[in-house]
Amino acid sequence: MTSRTKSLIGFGVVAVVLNLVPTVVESLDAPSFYVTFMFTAFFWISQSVSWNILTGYTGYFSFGQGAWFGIGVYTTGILAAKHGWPFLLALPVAGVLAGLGGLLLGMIVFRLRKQSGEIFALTTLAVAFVLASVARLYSFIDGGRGIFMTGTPLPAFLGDFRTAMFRMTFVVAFLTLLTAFLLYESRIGWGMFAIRDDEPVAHGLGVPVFRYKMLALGTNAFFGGLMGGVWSLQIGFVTVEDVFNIRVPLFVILMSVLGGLRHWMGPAFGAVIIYALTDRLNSAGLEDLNQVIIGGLLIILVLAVREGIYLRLRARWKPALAVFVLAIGVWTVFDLGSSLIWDFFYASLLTVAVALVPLKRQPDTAASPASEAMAASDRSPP
Amino acid sequence: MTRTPRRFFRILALLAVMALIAAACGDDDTSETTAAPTATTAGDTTATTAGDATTTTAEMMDEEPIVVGGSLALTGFLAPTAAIHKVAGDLFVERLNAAGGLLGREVMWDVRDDESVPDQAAAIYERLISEEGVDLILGPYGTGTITAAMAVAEREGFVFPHHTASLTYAYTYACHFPTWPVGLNTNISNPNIVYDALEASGNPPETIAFVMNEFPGTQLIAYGPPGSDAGGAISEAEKRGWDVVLEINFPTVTSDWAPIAAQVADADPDFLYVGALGVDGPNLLTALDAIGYAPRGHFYQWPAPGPMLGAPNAEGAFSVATFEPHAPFTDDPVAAEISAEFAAAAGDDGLPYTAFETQASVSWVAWEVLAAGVEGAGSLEHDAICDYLINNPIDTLLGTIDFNPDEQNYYGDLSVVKQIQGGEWIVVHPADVAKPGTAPIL
Repeated sequence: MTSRTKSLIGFGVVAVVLNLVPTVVESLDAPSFYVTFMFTAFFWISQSVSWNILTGYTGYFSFGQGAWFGIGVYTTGILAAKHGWPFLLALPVAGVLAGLGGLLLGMIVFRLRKQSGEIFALTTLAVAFVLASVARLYSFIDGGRGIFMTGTPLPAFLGDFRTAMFRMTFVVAFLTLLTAFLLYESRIGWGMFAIRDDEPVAHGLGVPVFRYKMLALGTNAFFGGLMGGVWSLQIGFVTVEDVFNIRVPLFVILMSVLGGLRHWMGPAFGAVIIYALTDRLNSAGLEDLNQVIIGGLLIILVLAVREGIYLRLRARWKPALAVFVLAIGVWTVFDLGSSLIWDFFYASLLTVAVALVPLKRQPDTAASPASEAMAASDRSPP
Repeated sequence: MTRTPRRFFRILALLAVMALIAAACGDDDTSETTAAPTATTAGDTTATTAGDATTTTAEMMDEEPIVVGGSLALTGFLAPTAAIHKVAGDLFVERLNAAGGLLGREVMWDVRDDESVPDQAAAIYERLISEEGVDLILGPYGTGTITAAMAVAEREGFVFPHHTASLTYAYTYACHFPTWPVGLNTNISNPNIVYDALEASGNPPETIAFVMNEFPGTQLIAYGPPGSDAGGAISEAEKRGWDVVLEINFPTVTSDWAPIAAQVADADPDFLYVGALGVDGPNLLTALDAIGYAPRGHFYQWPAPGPMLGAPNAEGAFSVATFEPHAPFTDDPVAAEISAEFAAAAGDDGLPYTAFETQASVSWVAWEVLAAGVEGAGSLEHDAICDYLINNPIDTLLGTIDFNPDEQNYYGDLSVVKQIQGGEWIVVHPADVAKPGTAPIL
């Protein structure tokens, strides 16, 4: 059985298990916040993994996640809340419009020969500002009036609001991860990594640079918008200031860097860790220290685990898994945490500590990103 | 020991400390919680809460406290004003507990930081209700966060008193209880209260300019609900025969005041109506002053009251209010006492403006409504509390409130008009609540 087949089977198993969570939570009369916790994690997973398809794979650093997210939020807001479209019909339109926005941006910026990384990053940041201004200006979008999403009808088969949010965010996160995985495992993924390592050389080797960059940006924007479309329901009252701000792009960058840019799974790990950390700090009433602690943690981990937590843990998955399972077991058996989320949080912290244990043989930090990625993964070049 | 292991152990130690901090704080959830009273105002009651004043603190401690959960924008762009609500809530709970608590039990306020972000607020209320099991909730500060939190309250069937949501037309949850007392049709009622004050000055304007923040609440005041032809401040001014000489909308967060000031100066209206939030007013007045222009008459919708007093040419500025710490509002000795205690507490907390005025008073009333609902229902059952609040008039610091389900639980516009006179905010209209000896000056 190939590595790819194993992974696809893993995808299937995880999908089936996770899909049962709302039912299990309800039948066990467990706190319904568990479901909310998970669908919020799905939101961040999808945002950070999709961002990484552009930035991690091709090396084009983007601040544009807020723009794609915003297009998605406003598309479902306008179509479903203002014009009464069925929400599930408006949702794919959100993804498509955001994707088209990404492609339009790519058509412009990727054709500029002198386009440097810094200019690209600033251009993507500017897109969000431009979209915010357009939304403010035109009343058919917002016009400063905001859009109420509360009360937007959802199909009955999705269940109550919380379950529906879980299912929709889960599907989008699943598709994002699957896409990231399939790209990563394909010849296209290798081409993208080659662009990241040295674009002129990749071009010289026959990699269709423009097409692959467009694909990366379009995919990033599509999933950013699709999840934004779902998330409009959780925001409740959509305003320009709450949507087109720096929060989403900043967090996806933090999550991806922490988890690791060199593997499709890295940002998902980072997303879960950072979201769990912020949520528990808030729950503990330590919101004031939230940014200080996350910033400090990021500095430590970036310095100590340069390839990202995921690759480090993957290289030592047995002790990491043992620590996680043992910690969950101890906390649960001795009832040390006040809830399952706390148990998960403590176990995750201890597991992250495993990533900090130095290897006997440190990886060659001078190696190229592609060779590091190749070394860390167990695949052969296609 | 080599360098690498030493670095590793340092990092591990740091992580361990972080885990310990989180563990220590996670289980008892005591942070940002107002609990056991320290005040010694024995026999005091809040303005409306019956409470069992004979219940001793020791007796209260025998039972589990009632936990009121909620969030406030303790950080983020709403934080400066939300700080007022934090002080007001802390003070209310302190006085409530000193007067015997609720149903003879101590009350704790578990308030979290929503960072001024609506979806963050929604997640906090979900967590407070379903994971942490709070007994009651109180709304956050600000329209966006209140709207997000109200959706959670409705799903969970929790009574939802809230104090600062501006989009009256949109709130249809049967058990939401607004204490921002502006009425369901605030886009009509609120400007007309202001315009009546201008007429009462004996010198009403002939020309008027509108400079409106693109915040949804001020847009509602200016134009009415989206998709409705009800109109708002602008059309109501035209109905009075006043000539609208300028109409500008500006982004919610703007720093580019000079072009707006230039247009105002060019239009030179008799009266400038600013749909202002926070420090929009001082910013605009500063920009106007920079080009040597002072408005002849001017109004600011929801300004930060302290900074307005320090702005150039602010004398004579109008705004709307619900309470100001002067007669006749402070004729009630309890109101005077609350006002004084709030000022002291706000000073201790380092708030720049310590007067017990609109923001603090609507916050106070939200707590009064919650407390009255629990005492009236005699239980923590949300259906019972909701029924009681809908079916009974509630005495509050701002007068008697009669939640009207036919008007989405609104109860008319109780706003009054205040003006800066002699360097102070004072209520000048209507005459029955104006500071004795004052009137609107235009």
